[in-house]
Amino acid sequence: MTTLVAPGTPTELRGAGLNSDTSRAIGAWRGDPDWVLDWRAQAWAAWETIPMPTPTTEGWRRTNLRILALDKVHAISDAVAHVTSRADLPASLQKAIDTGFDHGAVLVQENGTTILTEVDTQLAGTGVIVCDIHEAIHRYPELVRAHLGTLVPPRWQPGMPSNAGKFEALNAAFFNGGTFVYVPKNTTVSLPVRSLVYQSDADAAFFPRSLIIVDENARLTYLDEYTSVNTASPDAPPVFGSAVVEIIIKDGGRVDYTSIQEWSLSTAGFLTQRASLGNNASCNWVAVVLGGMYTRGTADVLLQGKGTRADMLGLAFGEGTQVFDFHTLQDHQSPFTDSDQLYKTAMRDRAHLIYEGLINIRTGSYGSNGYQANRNVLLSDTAKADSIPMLEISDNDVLCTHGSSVGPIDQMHVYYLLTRGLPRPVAERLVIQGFFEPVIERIAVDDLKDRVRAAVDRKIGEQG
Amino acid sequence: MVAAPATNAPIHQSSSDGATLAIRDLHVNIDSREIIHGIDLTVNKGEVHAILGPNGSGKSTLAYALMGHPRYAVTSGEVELKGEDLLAMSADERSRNGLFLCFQYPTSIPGIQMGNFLRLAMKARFGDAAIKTFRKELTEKLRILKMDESYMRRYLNEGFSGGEKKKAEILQMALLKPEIAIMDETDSGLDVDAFKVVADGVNAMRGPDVGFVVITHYNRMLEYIKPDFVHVLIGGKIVKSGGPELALAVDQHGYQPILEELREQGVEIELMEEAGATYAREEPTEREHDPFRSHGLTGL
Repeated sequence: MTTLVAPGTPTELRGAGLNSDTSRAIGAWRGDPDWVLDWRAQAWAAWETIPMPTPTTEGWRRTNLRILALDKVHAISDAVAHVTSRADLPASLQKAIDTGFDHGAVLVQENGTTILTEVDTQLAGTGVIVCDIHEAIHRYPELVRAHLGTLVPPRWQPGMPSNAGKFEALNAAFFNGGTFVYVPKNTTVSLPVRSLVYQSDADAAFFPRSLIIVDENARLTYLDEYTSVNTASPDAPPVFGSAVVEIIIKDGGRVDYTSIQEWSLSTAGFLTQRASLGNNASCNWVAVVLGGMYTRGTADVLLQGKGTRADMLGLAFGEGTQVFDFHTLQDHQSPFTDSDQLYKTAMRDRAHLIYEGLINIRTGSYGSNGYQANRNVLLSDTAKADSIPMLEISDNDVLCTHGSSVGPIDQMHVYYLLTRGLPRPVAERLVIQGFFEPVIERIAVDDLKDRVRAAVDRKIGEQG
Repeated sequence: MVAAPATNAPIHQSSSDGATLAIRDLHVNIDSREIIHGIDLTVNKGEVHAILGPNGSGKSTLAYALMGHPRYAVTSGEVELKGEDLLAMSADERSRNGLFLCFQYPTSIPGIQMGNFLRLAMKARFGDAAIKTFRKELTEKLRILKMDESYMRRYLNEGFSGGEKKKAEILQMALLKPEIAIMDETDSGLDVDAFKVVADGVNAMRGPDVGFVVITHYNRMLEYIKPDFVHVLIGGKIVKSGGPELALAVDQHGYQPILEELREQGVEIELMEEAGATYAREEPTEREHDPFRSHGLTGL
């Protein structure tokens, strides 16, 4: 068991906005070493320098950022008291954690503070580290410094994948909370390690930054969950935040990564997840996105080593006026690398899906395979999906396919179920569940499949 | 267009009042073309009616229209199920009220597990109480149909062979215990063994609580499932009704004698283009005739 002893948030920071003083003050309060303070400063400069994306910016053409009210956002929330056991957690978090399967470790974070850390003693004995990111900066400085920001740097660099990195820079300038995981060489963590990031302060932004390092021939199953409260009134500016996850998988390592975003429908947030794979490493990544009025989801795999393999699965269900703005990258940087992506979404009401996925086969990536499929179902005439799969191939002897589809729910499937007496809403839900099932099926751990099915069922309504 | 063949009026049409299923002067369109030109048929519980007819005569159209398929539009006529207006019911209401259609080409739905689907269907038809006895009943029906428990974990009809699909249809019928069961060419595409299992499954269900409408263009089915009444459907009309001997006559001589008989009576029969005048006996290919042809997404 490890616990972080953190001082309370300085009262003078309460209500402070997003500016360089607050960025420095958060660093000071966190007791950041100089290199992190410098890092935050660089990030703040990047935030100020990079222009705010507009509807004419490449990659943001379908995005409306006017819903954000960044001038009103508080940079940090009051610290939340730690609890010593699950029983002391707020009821909603207890319920979220208690999903009937065993964990190797659990970290619960509220408003940037890690309020509960549970690490299986056997797991801790193997040298596996699971702790709060700030604690890791102090206790394992070399390990953290060598990896933090290597995939999602504080300042965007030319040639780096994905978009301009503005909101990733914002995360670095204010980062507060996040999970650190290190799995030593040749170590298998069989029970899932779980992180739950909860924002209960609607006025404050959330900026968690997680760093997962899986060393050579090590193996990790990681469940990454995000939830948030609703704003007090529907007219209030949305709950805002930018979360970053870096996953570094060294030679021969494997990560089964499942992330579930269940933000409130009055949350507008950014979630940037990027994984790198060393020689013969592999990852099986399932991204489930259900919440948020606006979600900018960036999911990138960097196939750096030879013989790497990445499976990228995605699932989203939208309702009301939810907007999902997904950008994915399968970046083949070495020979004999495989990536296989399947993103499936269903949108009802006036929900809107944007998907831009790129397979980039770089020079020197001969013998690689890249697959990409984006399937979208529209459940109403007013729902919308813009799907843009892209391919960039700079080497020979590669095999790539990509495809996307947008269409209504298959009425013949629904009809068959109706003829067996299932009322139409039940039949439609069942067809949607069936549509998502091929994605859920590919989650590596059965317990997590059930966790995802439950989340999806909750979202689309219980079966009749 | 057909003039009503008065001499060939269905023999048990005297009163359809109080019948389990009463069809009166039913007209059905597909894509604004009339396929069924006025059918009268009365089916009671405990009875087995066979409907014979060449390809394209409207047999499947009748089945789909009764089951409320969105592509099949009833333009006039009445259908009552246990005295209630069937045509006013949605497809799911028809099912919950005791009508069942055993599809010729059952739809495959990936991602939906057979077991979960059956449980929901039982709940829809019989309420929560049915869930308690569901397991036991399921095991028994699976045994009768020589189906393995592992079917329950498979996706609905996905990757099922022709025989497996038909067995799965019979399984659903056995569990949902309809009062009127329509079997649309259930014998098509079955090898002898599967055929026998399917026929046994149906015979095990026969009894005073269910009426069957068995649609087929082979007599083979009727050797196993003995009908009480036989109707010949040609050109969207029932042109002749009788007992089991009518099925034998059709089997031996084909539909030509019946057509000649009608011609002598001055009745003209509109033949479907796709059936042609020769009434070829080939099985229709699934693609050509599958009313479930999906125009939606592929690779779901």
